[in-house]
Amino acid sequence: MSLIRWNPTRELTGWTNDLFNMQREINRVFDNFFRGGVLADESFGLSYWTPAVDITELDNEYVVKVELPGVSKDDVKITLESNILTIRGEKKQEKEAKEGNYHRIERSYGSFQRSFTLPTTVKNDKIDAVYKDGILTITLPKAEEAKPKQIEVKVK
Amino acid sequence: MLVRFDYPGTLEGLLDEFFAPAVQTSFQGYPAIDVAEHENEWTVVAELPGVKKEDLKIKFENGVLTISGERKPYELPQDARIWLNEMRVRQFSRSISLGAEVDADRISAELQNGMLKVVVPKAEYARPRTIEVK
Repeated sequence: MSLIRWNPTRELTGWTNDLFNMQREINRVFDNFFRGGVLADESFGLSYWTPAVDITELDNEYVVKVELPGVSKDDVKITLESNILTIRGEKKQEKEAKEGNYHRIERSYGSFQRSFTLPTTVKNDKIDAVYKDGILTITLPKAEEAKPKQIEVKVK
Repeated sequence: MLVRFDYPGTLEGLLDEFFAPAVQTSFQGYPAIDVAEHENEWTVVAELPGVKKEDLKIKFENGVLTISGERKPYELPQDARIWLNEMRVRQFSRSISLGAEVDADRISAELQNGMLKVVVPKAEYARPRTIEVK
């Protein structure tokens, strides 16, 4: 057996990673619990970092916003498969930034993925995505049968 | 219920403080920043998705660079149903001490794709130079 030099930094990094994953798993469980499992986030274990997401439901559409500062839009992939919306991609470090002596690196780089199950069906061919000011906005119009209908009931 | 876990702002941050005491920042997680030293300048990159130029304030005073501002919430119709709300930060402020040996008049800043890049040139006298031996 050979001697391996102990690297405190590496060990601590691994430990914080575990902690990070655990925190996410706890969040996921709580989320599913409070939401009744309608919008489950299935991303656990697949990402190096987790972008913050807002999801809003309007009468005719869902609006999904993802914080992706510094991510090139060519590095983002959005897919919808049987009501599961998946946003995945990679944040690359800028080429020029690789030089220089770093005193602090807090930004997260690498791949990310988040998936959400939408409560109702959407028009697959009408999904729209816009990237502006570091925020990706995905608009998913609801399918006709999923829209709220107003039915007039006559009282006799 | 989802609380954003700021991984780099916590333990990694502590390690940074310990291993690189040259640059002091306020111990706060938002926005996430990268600070790099180059031969002739410092570059500070902050992640500020959804922040408008006019809502951002950058100040340099006594060797300390401060990035502060506000992210205004986007508009939603009243009957919107919120399923998930993780983009919570509204007000933010972060200070980075870069020392006094900089050319404060030539500091420049650019906001693009939710990323703020501040370039702080070093003062002429603080730049490295090679001395020729006669």
